[in-house]
Amino acid sequence: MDYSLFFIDHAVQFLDLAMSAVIILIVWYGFKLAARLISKQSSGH
Amino acid sequence: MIKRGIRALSRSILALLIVLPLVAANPVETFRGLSSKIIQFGNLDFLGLSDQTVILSLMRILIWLLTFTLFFAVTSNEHIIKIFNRKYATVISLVLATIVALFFADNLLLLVGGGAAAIVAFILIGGPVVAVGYLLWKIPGHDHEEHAGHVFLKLCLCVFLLWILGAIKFHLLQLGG
Repeated sequence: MDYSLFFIDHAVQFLDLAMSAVIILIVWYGFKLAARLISKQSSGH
Repeated sequence: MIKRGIRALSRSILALLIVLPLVAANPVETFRGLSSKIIQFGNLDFLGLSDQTVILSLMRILIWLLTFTLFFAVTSNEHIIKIFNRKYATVISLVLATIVALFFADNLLLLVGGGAAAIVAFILIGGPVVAVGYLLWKIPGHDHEEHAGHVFLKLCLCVFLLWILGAIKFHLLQLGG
């Protein structure tokens, strides 16, 4: 049994999970930033 | 006089034996050979054993050290066990550590090693995630209102984290074939 391959499999799964969480965060902060900028622009006019 | 002559002769033969390989081989080749010899020594190839046997033997030595230290720390402590003095504690720890090192099953040893390495590796991979998560949690600091600049900074941190994780995954997949 190759233990390093076993470990790599799990590490890739963990990384996939972390990356999807980070992508959700990026989308969340993107929307937040857009909302702030739009609200600032509309209050400025 | 004869003694001195014999001594001088033996010295010159010894010097010749030491210098002869340097003259016979190219110095660069000699150093290259030396470095490969050192690497071979580090590989433990000279023992002529398979890789798994070498790792298992090394693990057994490490397990011996670990169990000896643990047993000695417990048995020599006067607050925990009062009947042993330092000498008895040493002998008992030596015997127990040797028994453990001898009778530890091979598969179990590999599994324990793999598990411990996996924990450390996950901590190392999880380090950037935890660090960036902490920053996202803490920005902006106390008594500061969140502005668009803060949100932009958080966005940049997330993109940076995604890049790091992507790089780690790329190299892991390369390792895994």
